[in-house]
Parts: sequence; structure tokens; C-alpha cells
Amino acid sequence: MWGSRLKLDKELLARVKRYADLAGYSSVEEFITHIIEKELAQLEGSDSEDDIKKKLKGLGYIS
Amino acid sequence: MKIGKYRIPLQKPELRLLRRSKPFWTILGEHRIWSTVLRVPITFPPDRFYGAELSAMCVPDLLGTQGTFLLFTTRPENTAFQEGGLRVGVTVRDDRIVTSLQGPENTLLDGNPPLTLPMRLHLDRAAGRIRAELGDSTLTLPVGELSGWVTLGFAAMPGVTVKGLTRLLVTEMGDHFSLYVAPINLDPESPAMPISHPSYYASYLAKKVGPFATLGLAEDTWALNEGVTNDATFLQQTYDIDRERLDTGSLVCVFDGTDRIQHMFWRDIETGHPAGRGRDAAPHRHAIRELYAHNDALVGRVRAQMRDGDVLMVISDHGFTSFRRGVNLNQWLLREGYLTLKPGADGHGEWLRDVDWSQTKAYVLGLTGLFLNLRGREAQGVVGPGADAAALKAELMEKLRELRDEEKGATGINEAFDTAVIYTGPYMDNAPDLVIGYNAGYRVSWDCAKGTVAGPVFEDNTKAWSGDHCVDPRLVPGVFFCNRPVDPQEPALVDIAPTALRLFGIEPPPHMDGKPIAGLA
Repeated sequence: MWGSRLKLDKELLARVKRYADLAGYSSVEEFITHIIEKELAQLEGSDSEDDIKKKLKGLGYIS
Repeated sequence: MKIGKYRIPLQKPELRLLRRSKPFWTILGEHRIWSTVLRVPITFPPDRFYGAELSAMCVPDLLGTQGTFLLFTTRPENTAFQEGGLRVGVTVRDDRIVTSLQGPENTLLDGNPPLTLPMRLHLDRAAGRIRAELGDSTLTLPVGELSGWVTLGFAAMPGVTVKGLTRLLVTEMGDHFSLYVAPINLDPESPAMPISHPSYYASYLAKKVGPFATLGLAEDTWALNEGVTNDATFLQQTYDIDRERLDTGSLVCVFDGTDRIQHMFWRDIETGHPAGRGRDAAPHRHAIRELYAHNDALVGRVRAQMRDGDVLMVISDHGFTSFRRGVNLNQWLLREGYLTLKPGADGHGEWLRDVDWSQTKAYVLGLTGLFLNLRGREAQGVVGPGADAAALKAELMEKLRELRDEEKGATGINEAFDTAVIYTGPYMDNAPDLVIGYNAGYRVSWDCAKGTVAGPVFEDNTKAWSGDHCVDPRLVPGVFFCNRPVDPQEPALVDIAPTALRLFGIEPPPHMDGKPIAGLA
């Protein structure tokens, strides 16, 4: 229920808000949550740490 | 206890109600009869009894007085107000005033200095209004217009803010400038003192109906006595406070009976329904007619409670039609070569367990959706996204258009809808690829909805659940009744939310797909 709070710098927040409005989200929070869910969905379904690391590399999160 | 410059109290201050005897609601409570007592005089601090109470007379303002208004003015006056107000001299420079609002004493500091809130006023003489900045609140106020409630937050120490509510009125902006600030009421949503029983009741009411006056004598008679406000302002304050007694806002209530009863008793209103056999003498065979009579009476009772200006909308999100025949599209997909079973499987497994995904291009799960086994989306997808998927969708749509139930000589499916065409928005990825428009009398079969493949493509539905709406939406529109005339059009469900917002003067946000119903809002 309580979750965590994130802080975004003003410039990033402004960019997020612009795209959230254009995409039809009701709020910045909804947009950010959806982005994170979609990114995580690409990682899920893996059985092993190695598989996850491969996916993280493939998505460009680690080298 | 001292921590640095702060004195932290180790116990709460004591408040005692000096009223004697026992009010009747306490006695009722002793007999486990609940009472709700709102703004009855001499109920501060609130009684503790079996019931709920909102305190009234004797509740102080945030300064601890019975109502001290403030007058920020450029008029030079040396005499104090006689009845209860404070005059604060201000100076206008370049049509700006920089001053502060004095709040309660800060008992957490030595010497109890007053808490203050910076206030900046920007005078727009040409437009006849000011912009007032009080702490975090900003408002634009035309001269002569009493503002709504403004929330003030006085920071007492890190993590401790004392909250209050006030209203503002610019009484003059000519050669002289004067701003009336109403006594700072305790904020009911976060009262600095106990003003209700249970303690959270005031907060609950504030969240439910919005901010309201908490001061014992909330109508500012002293400001009128002193000539700071006039009759019109006093009357407005008084009637506004009265209106706070009444609920304003919106009420949304869903009555599910119209859905449930029509699902279960459609068999009794349709001659020849396979689920209606032997029910000619069933005791509740008139359940649907009785349901509508019942709900009609409810609408009548609601209308009797309505005041001038209230808007009543009676809507449904869908209509109803018969569910006589179930359609197993998984079986149809198997027969058409779009779905393959695992070797040795007979197709009776639920949840698509018997499906060989390496050979399957499409499947059905749930009440209306057909999904492509899409590479990159489904775990074992075989259909290429893009052109391949589009071509397969077009092929399926063509084959499903007017799909015939040869046994009954009827059309089972009117058409299938491409969700890439009918849906928009950021969550389209969650939709099926095709939505099936079943004809009246037809719906996905019970087995198919759970991912079973075996069985006939068309079969009778003999369950009590004999009416449905998960069909071609053009066949089951919802209803829209309203106590106000609306322009002739077909309101859509997505129009209800924007309409509700516009009725309260709020512009619907851009993410809403609908539009306010013309003539209504």
C-alpha cells in the first residue's frame, strides 16, 4: 500500500509529463508505473540469473 | 522536554467540557441507540457516547479566540476594533503588498512567539482583482468577492504543521486597499484540537463534503458590527455555512440486480429457450418484470429527495439479449487448421492445456477475445508481428463474418472487430487481437471461455445463466435517462465522467476519451 517514493529532477519530470499527456495517461505516476511494468515484463519469465543477465544485457541495462 | 530550541510537551493539554447534566443522545447511547449530533451548541470538547458528534459553539479559532478576523489595510487608524478583530497596517509599493498572517502562538518555542505565514498580494487594478500568495496557496480574487475556503499551514517545527481555514475578501482597492481575512477556523481535516467524536469524524466529514466551518460561531457577526464587512457578505457567509450542512458533490451507486437477474431469468421471458423448459409454473418466472418495477420505484424515491439543480442520470453500461447457443471457437479454429492439439490430447483440458503452441496460430480465452499466438508476445508465439499478424487477422475476420449455425439456420457471429482499429490508448497491448461480435442468442460457450477445445462448435445453453451481453455491442446498448433534457444524440459511456466533471465546473482532463453531453454540461 505505501510503496516507495521516487525523486525526479525537474527536467526529467517535465519530459515525462509531456509524454504522459500526449500518450493519454491520467497522470505522470501512471505513465511511469506503466513504463516500469513494461520494462520489467521483458525480463520476467526467465528461470536463472544467467538468463536474466542476458536479457539485461540485451536491453542495454548492463554491459 | 527540551530538544535544542524546541520544548516538546510530554502530555496533551487538558480540555474540559463544563456543561452539566447529560444530553439525551448520551442516554440514547446507553441504550445502544446511535445518534449523530452535528453542530449542536456547547459540544466542545465533544461528548463521548455511542454515536458521532461534530462540535459547535465554543470551538475556538486557530488563535484560540471565539473568532478574530483580520483586516489588512492601508487606512491609517489608531483605534482597535471593539468587538474582535485585528487591524494590520500595510503599504502598497508598485501594486504589491508584502506582509504576513499571524497565527497561533508556537508553544514549542521559548516565549511562545506567534506562528506566521508570509503573504504577498499583487494588485491588478485594471482587472479589478488581486493575486494572493499565502504560504503554499495562491488564489485570484476579484474585488468584492468572498473567496472559498483557503487552507493555511503554519510550520511549528520540522514535521509539525498547524492547519487552518480562512476566507478572504478585498473590500476596497482604490485610494486605499483593504483585505478582510475571516477568522482562521481549525481545519476539520486536520484539527489542532478535538472537535469531533470519534476523533476522526471531522476528518471523515471533511474528506466527504469538503472543507467546512468549525468555529463555534462561524458567521462573522463581529466583522459586520465593526463595519469591516457588510450585510451581503455576512448573509453570504451564513448561507454558505448552512449549505455546508447539505451534501454537495456527486453520488454514484451501482445496482447490480438488473445485471444478475437478467442473466439468470432471461430463460423465462423467451419462448423456446433451452434453459426455460419446464418452467411455465416456476414461482419467479416474472423476476425481470418485477425487477424493473422495483428499480423504477427506487428512481421515484431518489427523485423525491432531489433539490433544484440536482442532476440525476440513470444509466446502464450495456443492455441484454438471449444466450441460447454457446459457440466454441477453439473447436472452430481446430477444424479450420489454426489450432493444433498436442499428440494424444483430446481437447478436453481446460485453460488451453491440450494446445500444441508450436503449431497454433490463434486461440480463444475468456468471453469475447481471440488472440493470435504472436511471436514476441506469447511465450511460444509462431505468428510474426506486423504484416503476418495483420494478414492472419484479416483472414480470420473474413471467415468469422456471418458465421452460420447450420443446425439452427441462423447467424452465430455477425463479425469480428480488429482491436487495433476500435481501441486506442496506452494499454492496447492488453487487448485481444479480435473481439467477437456474437449475434443475438449466441455467446462464447462455457467450455471455450475456459480454454477447452473439445465439443461441438455450436450447442444449446441449458444453464440458468440464460441471458447475456458479451455479444455484438450494437445489439445491447445501455440506457441513459436524465432529469434534464439533453440534445438529441447517443451519449456514450465514456461521456459520463467528463459530464460529471463539467457539471461541477471542472474541465475534463485531456486523457479522457469522452466529451461532456451537450445540453447537460
